[in-house]
Amino acid sequence: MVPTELLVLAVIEDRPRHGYEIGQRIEERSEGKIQFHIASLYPLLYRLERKGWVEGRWVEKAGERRRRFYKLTPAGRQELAGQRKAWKEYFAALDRVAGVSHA
Amino acid sequence: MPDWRRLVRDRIPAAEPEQVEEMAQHLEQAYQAALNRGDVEADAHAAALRLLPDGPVRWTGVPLDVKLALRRMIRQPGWTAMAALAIALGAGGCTAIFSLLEAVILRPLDYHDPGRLVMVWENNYLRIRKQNVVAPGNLRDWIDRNTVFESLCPVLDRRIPVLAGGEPEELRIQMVGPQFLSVLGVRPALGRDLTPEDARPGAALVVLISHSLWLRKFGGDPGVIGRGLTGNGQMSTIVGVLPAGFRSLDEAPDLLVPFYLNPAVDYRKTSGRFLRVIGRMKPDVVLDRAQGEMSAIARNLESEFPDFDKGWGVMLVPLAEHFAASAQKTLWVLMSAVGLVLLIACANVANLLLARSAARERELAIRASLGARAGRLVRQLLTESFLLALAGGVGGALLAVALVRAFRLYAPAHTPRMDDAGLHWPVLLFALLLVALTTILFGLAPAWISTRLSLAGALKEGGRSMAGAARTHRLLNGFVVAEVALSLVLLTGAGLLLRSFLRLASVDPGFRSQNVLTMSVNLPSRKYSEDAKVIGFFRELNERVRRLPGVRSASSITFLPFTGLASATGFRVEGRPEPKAGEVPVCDVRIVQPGYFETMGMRLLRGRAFNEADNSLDAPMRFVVSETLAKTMFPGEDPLLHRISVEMGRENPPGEIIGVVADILHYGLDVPSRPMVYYPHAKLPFSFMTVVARTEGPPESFAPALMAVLREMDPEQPAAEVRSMDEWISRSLASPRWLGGIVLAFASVALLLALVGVYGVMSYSVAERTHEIGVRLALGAEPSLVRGMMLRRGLWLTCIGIGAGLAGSWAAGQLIGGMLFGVRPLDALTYALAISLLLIAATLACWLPARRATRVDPLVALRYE
Repeated sequence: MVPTELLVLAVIEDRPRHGYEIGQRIEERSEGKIQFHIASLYPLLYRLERKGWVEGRWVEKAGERRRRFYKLTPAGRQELAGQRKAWKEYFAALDRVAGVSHA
Repeated sequence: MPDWRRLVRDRIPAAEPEQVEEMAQHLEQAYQAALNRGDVEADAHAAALRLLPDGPVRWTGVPLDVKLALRRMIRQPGWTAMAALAIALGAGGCTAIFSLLEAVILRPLDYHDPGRLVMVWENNYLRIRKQNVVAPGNLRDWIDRNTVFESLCPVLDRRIPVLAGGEPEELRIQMVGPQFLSVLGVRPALGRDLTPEDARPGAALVVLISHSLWLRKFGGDPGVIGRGLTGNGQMSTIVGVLPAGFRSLDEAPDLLVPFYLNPAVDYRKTSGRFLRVIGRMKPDVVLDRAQGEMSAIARNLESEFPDFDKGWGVMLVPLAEHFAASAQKTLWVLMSAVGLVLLIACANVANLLLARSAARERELAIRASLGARAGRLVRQLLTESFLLALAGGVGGALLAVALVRAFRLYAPAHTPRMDDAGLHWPVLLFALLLVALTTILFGLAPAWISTRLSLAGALKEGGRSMAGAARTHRLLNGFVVAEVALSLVLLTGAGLLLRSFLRLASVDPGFRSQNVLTMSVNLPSRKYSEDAKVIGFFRELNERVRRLPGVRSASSITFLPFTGLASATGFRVEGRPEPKAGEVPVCDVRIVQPGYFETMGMRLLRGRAFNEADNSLDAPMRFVVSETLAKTMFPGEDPLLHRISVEMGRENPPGEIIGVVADILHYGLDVPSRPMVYYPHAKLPFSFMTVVARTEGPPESFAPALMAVLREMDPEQPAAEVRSMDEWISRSLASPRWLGGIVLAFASVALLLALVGVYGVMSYSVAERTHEIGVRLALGAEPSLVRGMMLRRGLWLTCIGIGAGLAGSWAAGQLIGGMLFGVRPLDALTYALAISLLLIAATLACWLPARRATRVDPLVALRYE
């Protein structure tokens, strides 16, 4: 269970996004605490794609360069739910043991 | 705007084109966003660059590992080629030689229960001829009296002219006891075996033909059984076809016919010793018991027939040993040579990997500190090693196949079972496993070393721990010393064999072999049954050949020198007391037409050569003898005043010695001359003669003319072995040339590998000390001083290697001592040459990196930190 996977799956939960947007969103939401190298972000995306949790697709719009959008697959959605639950339990345990609240 | 795609490609070399596009967009967008925020261009650029890794990075996944490893190999083509070549040479060479060893020596014979098969020889213990052919009279008594053999079977090899559709042709025929195939445990592929009835006097003539002859002459027609074949002027019926690839002892005869011992003939009166005998021991009999009983029988025969058998015993040789004997030593020498090459190759691969690993320690240490798991790093290194071993392995397998083919092609003719040699897969696998293990073991060295580094220390010291470096050094030095030592062993061995070969090739055979063409003619005895006809035929043949334009002289002889054929017998000097039984002097006998000595360029020492008057049926008996015979039999006397009698025919009237010719070598350049008596052809009209013609210009170009002359005289008469005298001599040298050539090839490979090894280590040493050298140069050290420092180190290692190699060379010299001709195993010149060659090579290998060291730019070296 890798936290970076959870991060990526979570930010494309509502709609498909391209790589830059995913990186930006993670950075914004973490208030700059979490930043991705492209050499970590893209291999991660490709790995999630190989696992069948996300689906990447080149989208072309008139007058714009084509971009690759990543969409959560049903399997990915299930995985996301699973990971969320697992992390919640983990933080709850941390809280009980060390008084670290994740809220 | 920066070229984002190029940046991505540089830093993330494994990325696919589409991925590069995607990531380049990402960077560009980040750059634009920074500009939009109001950053200046430089700041925006830096912001985008922060998203990229500092240097090239690897991605995960096995296919990616392979891709990266391949890319790395391609990026260092010289290094990869050297390492793969070392693996291929070691594995391929070793496999090829061992495949031959296996086929010729180690593989069990193809016959049924071969452990019970033995060759049975007569053994003349007075003249120390251990394995002599057998007299038919003795064989018959052996068969009657022994209780240890199921069967004793005579074998006699001949060549006969055959007519079987198309051109007349000379074929190899083997006359064998009718039980021969069942003794070997072989069944005909078609038709029937020989039967005892076939071997009765007056029985219809039958013949078995070889599988290859069946295909070649009869198109593989199963209806061949019952058809006729004219051999030696007689019609025989084909009753069977031998199995494909059948080898009868060390021959592959075209025809097999029954040989018959006639009970009515007293062979001890009519013929000498000329049979080979193979026996199958009874199942419960061991070799010692069989030898004991046969020796006892031989002792009885000695006392019963002292005139014929005095001094003759019996010697049994297991068939497998008989086959292996001739080639065994050669192949073991080759095996040792190739084993050394394999060792050197392994050391070399280890060397190359270790030296390169030094360069990667820093990279690995950094990656480890950035959180790469050890397993991940090991997998990467394993992939590279594996690919390298694979490339070398494939090359090695191809090389082995090619080498086995080449060896078979160029092996001396008649090396038994050489034709059966194929690639021996288990050995190939073993050799590959060995180099693969070496590759993987030393391929992992960087990981092994870097896991022992404290990360902080590694980074602080510029990526190199002192302990790790020292360990690498010791290993590298050890390998270089070993490589140099092993190379010296091979170089001296090759040098000795080469010098021996050159000595041998420059031996004077006693005649002028240049510009002599030879052609063997074997007249069918049925067609040429009368002596006068045979004498007339060869006289006219010589006459016609002599008249050909460009032919200076021509003659013929029974057994040409260097063909391996011979005849020898006892002789007596008239007027001297009868020698004791078993102590009759022995001479070689050759039958010649007039003009033979002149044609061959032999020196006449005394008297005269044969003329046409000597060469007629009614001429008085006259002989020409060799120098050795004259010296041993007539020391201090005039041989021309003596008459001798030679045991060749039924009656052997004494004849005058009319001339003495200089000795010539007959059996090989390394076999001393034996006493020799020459007969004129008319006094002993053999129907098997070899024509010799001295030509003006290249003798081979006269071959068609000679064959045309023969066809004119008898269109049904085949010619065989039309080739120059020089070629006969060259063939007799095939074995030493083959051995010397191969060992020399191995030695060259070894030298090359050692050179690469020294070079690799010195390069490593320079690379590692770049910083130090830079500082020295910056502080004003003379470049020549730095060069000297690097050279000294390399040469010092070489000298240690040479010292160790001398001991090995001495041992190798003992091993091949018996194979040398005219060179002692401790030949000073050979040693001096080998050592100089190695030193020159090592100096060169050290010089290049040393020179590179002095080209180090002090600034670069310092910045390296």
